[in-house]
Amino acid sequence: MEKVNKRQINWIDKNNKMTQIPTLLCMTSPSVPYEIGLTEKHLNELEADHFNGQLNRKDLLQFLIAIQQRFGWICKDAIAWCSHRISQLETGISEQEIRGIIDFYSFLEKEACPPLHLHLSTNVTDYMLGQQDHQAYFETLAKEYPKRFRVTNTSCTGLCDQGPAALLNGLPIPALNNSIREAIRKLVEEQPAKIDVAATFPTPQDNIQLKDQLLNRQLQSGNAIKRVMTNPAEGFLGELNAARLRGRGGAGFPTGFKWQTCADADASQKVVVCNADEGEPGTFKDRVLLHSHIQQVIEGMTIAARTVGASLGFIYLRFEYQYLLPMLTAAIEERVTQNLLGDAILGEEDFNFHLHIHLGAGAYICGEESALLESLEGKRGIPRIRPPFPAQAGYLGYPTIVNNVETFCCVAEVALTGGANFASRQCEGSTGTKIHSISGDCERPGIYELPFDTTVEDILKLVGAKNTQAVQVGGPSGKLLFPELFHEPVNFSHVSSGGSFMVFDESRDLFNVVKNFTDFFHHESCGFCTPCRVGCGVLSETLDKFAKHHASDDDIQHLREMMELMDVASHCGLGQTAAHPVRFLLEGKPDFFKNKETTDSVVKIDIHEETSAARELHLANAGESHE
Amino acid sequence: MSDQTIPCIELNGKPIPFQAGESIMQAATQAGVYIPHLCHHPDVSPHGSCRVCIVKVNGRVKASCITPAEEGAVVESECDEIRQLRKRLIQMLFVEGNHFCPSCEMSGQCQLQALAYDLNMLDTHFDHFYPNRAIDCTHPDIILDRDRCINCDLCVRASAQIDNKQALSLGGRGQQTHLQANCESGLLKDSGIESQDKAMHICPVGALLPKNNHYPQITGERIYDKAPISEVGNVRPENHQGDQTKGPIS
Ligand SMILES: Cc1cc2nc3c(=O)[nH]c(=O)nc-3n(C[C@H](O)[C@H](O)[C@H](O)COP(=O)(O)O)c2cc1C
Ligand code: SF4
Ligand code: SF4
Ligand code: FES
Repeated sequence: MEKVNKRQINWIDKNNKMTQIPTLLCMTSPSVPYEIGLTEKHLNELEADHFNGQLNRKDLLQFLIAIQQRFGWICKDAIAWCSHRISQLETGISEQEIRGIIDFYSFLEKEACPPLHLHLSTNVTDYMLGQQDHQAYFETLAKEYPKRFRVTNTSCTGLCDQGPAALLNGLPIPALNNSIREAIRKLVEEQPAKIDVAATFPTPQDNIQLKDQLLNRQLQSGNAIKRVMTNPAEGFLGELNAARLRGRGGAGFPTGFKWQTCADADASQKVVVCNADEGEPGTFKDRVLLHSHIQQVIEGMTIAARTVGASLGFIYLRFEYQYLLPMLTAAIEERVTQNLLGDAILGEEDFNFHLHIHLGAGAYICGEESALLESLEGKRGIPRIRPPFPAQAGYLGYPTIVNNVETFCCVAEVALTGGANFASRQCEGSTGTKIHSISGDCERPGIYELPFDTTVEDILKLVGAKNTQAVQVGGPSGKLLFPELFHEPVNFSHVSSGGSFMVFDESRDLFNVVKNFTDFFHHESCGFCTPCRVGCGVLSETLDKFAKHHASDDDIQHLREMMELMDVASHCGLGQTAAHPVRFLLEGKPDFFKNKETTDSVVKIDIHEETSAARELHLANAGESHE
Repeated sequence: MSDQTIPCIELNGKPIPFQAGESIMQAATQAGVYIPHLCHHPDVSPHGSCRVCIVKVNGRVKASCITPAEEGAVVESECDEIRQLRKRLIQMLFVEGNHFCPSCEMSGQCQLQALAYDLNMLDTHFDHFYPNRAIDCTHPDIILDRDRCINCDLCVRASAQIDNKQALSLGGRGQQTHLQANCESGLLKDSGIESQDKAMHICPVGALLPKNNHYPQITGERIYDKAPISEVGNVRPENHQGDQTKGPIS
């Protein structure tokens, strides 16, 4: 600690004072008295409790999240402290680099933040359920109490079947209504030191509507692992290949092939990662699996560890799902006591697997597996150059397999009932079942586990959808389908899906849907490569022109060119698919664009509005020079 | 045809030998062929972010600086389709920043501008973003004009890999991605960067500039006055020496 003290850190600097936010009871953070400033002592304690007394570069993001969650923002002194602690090790990091990381993640704040911060979800399904009204209400509340309460927006929170949804200091509040609004107003007015979120607000529901093999499975802890342990480690690869299992995270990559690559790699350490980032708008099935089927998930991961020879594992949990942390931590601890995790699992020498949970901090791109690995290492989530693939060189350079939550549940199923059995339920080469998260205009939104021969039409009937105009399958990066294609089955050969299914009836303006998705990508682009960083901006601004009826045929041409360019030239899947919503609507129903083109030969502009930015800039500059 | 032992790719119809592990860009450079690029420099590791180096490999669009050369691959770097995509990328870089070429010291030495000429770019095609970006003039010898920065990361890698300083990095996300100085203040003056650093001279545009030595190359003597970038693209502008006697003396 001496080295840190060499530099003067002013803890109780007035402008920099961090206020303890109210302790939220369903979180694990110890309670610290309300209204005290963050001090060096707190940081030392945090470091001692969670980071073995020495903050490492790779733990930086987790540490920043811990500060954010306990104090509501990350002050200058905390940043300086992190920089100095880490710089005592060989790889230093400056304050500015830490600020650059904070700026990457939506949920981290480096400016002072009021003790209560509400994030309203902006998925199109939230708007369809009346989000705008709540937005207006909370903005008024924030104006009334600017020092106590802030409201901002966030991308899909994974509560589309029970929206409009929000996060209060990171904890989910589904199904906003008038009484919840009043309850939040009361908290703002009364400023209690402790808030029992679970008692004050509704909690997220599983909302399972239809079960099949995965959701019916009640796994006796250890049973799947024991089945696998009757064979040598590589033996399970044969089962996986017989199962013809393909990844459930969206891309449908053959799981056996990925595992084989990792198993074949020669390395001192290997890693298994569960991708629980679930950022694709409209997807919420992983949340339900983590909540109610965590044994299958961990068992699948443990089997993966044995098969490829990994002893280190992570669950990368999106920030929005941190309310599950206490439960997940308990599940892991219980398994350690049962010798189903840890060293020499169930007595097998060399079968060691240590599982940790890492939180995300608000970045859709961190669902992309190589960006996820960067984030696990505590950096900005920028997708890596491939090759090498993660299975060859991943987390800290170790061969790493990354799989979706549901994929690991399938692995447990294969282990229990055998690969051939798993493959016996198939449609055109897609084997097993698929869990869908269904939301939008239908009577029974929620979770449905369905076989792969189910068509879009079948699903619409099941969920009670009427007068359906279009369906977005696979999330914004998937496909927008019109009735002509509703006869297609949702499987890897026809309409592939990671599990998002959003229904739009005849009353919806699909232009607004597409604009919502395009703005989502614009907000989430990591900014690494030109086609996506600039292209997402061009798409968003061009759609703005249509929304204002300022667009012309030229703008349609721009959209088409951008679709083509981003598709082929982007570095990762985000940029490659970011123009798909525009593409599907432009190809399927061009009238949605056509009827928004300007009808005048002279474009009318509001000169006052168009020059407002310049005026603001002028005023700001004038202010600066007078200081 | 190609030798038994030396593998080859076919680039624009000609066989080009390569060594295992080399990228298409490296193989091309070795053979004296210029593939347009901005974020690539032979002295630092590849990045793959600007995408200006896109080529067609067996019919698929790839970034040549991060795509390994493979025996028999058919590569096209100058077909109409690629040139059109490349032109759009250059235009996107122009509208994203604030590039006012007539007053820029790097005019005539700037790879972005030279590529725009080479691709016959007559306008910026898309609506300008006009971003509000901070300029850093705190350093006694160096100016960072972020209006012109294309986030190519070359200076970041040069500082880390050649100067052994790690004085710079990219921070933020999406359109807010920005070059930053690695120090407490975030200002160039405290970053440890010095005017003789490679990081200072590797910038493909005019974002990192020396102070006190303005317009050192007189018009007519600048690298792309002499020849288009398609002919001298593999000569690094920072190594170009025009006739100094014609330039203003600092
Ligand atoms: C922008 C982007 C976001 C992604 N988000 C997720 C995600 O949230 N969850 C997920 O499982 N896979 C996501 N993926 C896919 C992963 O990169 C990876 O393919 C997947 O985790 C592999 O697991 P699987 O083979 O089990 O599907 C995303 C991909 C991209 C390009
Ligand atoms: S495509 Fe978009 S998200 Fe992916 S690397 Fe490029 S800028 Fe980042
Ligand atoms: S300053 Fe120049 S070299 Fe550095 S990132 Fe910007 S454009 Fe690239
Ligand atoms: S030079 Fe290849 S992507 Fe920039």
